[in-house]
Amino acid sequence: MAARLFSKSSSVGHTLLGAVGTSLVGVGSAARGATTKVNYSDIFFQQQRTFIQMRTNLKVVDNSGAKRVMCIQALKSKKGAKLGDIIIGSVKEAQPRGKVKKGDVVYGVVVRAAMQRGRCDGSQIRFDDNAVVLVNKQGEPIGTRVFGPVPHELRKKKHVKILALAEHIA
Amino acid sequence: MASSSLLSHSLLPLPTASPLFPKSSLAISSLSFSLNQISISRTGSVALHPLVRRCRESSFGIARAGETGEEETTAETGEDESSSETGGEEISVAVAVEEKPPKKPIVKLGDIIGILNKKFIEEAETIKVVPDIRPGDVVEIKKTKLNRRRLALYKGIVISKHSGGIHTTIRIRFMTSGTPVELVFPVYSPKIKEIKVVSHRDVRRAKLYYLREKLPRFYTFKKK
Repeated sequence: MAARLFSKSSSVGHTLLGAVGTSLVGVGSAARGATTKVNYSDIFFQQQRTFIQMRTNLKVVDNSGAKRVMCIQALKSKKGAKLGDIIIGSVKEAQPRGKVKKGDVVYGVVVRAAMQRGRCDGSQIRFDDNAVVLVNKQGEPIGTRVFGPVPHELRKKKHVKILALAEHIA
Repeated sequence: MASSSLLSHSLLPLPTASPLFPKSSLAISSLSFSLNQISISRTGSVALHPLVRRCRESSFGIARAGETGEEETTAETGEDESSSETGGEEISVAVAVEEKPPKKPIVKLGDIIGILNKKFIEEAETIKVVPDIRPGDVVEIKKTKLNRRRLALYKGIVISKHSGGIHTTIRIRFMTSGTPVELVFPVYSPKIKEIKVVSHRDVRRAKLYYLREKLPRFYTFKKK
């Protein structure tokens, strides 16, 4: 976490592990948005994507009213959450009339993660951003629609309702 | 795969050879449960060579009975198995009588993985034909999902190909529902029913990771 914050503020390209890279072509892409992990990617210095941990910003892809959620705890793992795991988050940005307000503490299921997730048949999947669907303590989604693709890792984790609402199962 | 389980047995740590106990005898006792119809070839040669030959032939299920005309018969194996470690010297004396089979190329330890990979790939090729895939190809993949009947269809641009023998993988980038996705597929996996190269884009790189910064239209493809 500290390394990541440090890398955000430094002008010279730092990878997540704190190693110093040479001045990179892709520095301009760092302005892509505070949502994604800071992307100093260059063909030589690809950033190593890691788990979703405390302070990770995630996009919310349902119509529960929240827009951005900051992870405050990844349940089930000391290292962090992966695709399909549940996190506890704090709503940072919300639509004016929604089911959740800014500052609420909510549970969410990670439906898109920038870190690759291996599957048992040898394939891997990764998305370009981190996204979450808000759920209640029982695991049922708060919203009524889910946008974007969801991975079928959710089936094993018993998030069947989210799969039913999804547009596309990746 | 039955053959792979057989071979995995053969890849267990082999007992080291010593002058008194030829490697073949020690190896037989450890592998006798999985291989049948083992015949003893000349013991004076490179220690690993007869073992590898035996593994390959047994995994293809070739009965050695027909070929043992020139070599010691299975009666010798029976004797060998019963008197495992202590029978080393008896065997070396008995086997010296046999005729020498024609010289086969000596298989070095470092070649084994290459040989195994080639064999696995040959077996996988019988299920489906894998075309030559290069980065920059637009590819359509049909894959069976877990416990599902219907095939999933993925169409995207190959941004990298990682050659690893049987675990050769290609990484495909495409767009679904407005979100970019990257999937890694092991090309020789039996779950993948069909790979078809739809078109090709001229690229001057082996790995097209720069596409992640480019506009989505470079990796968006209409599915039919």
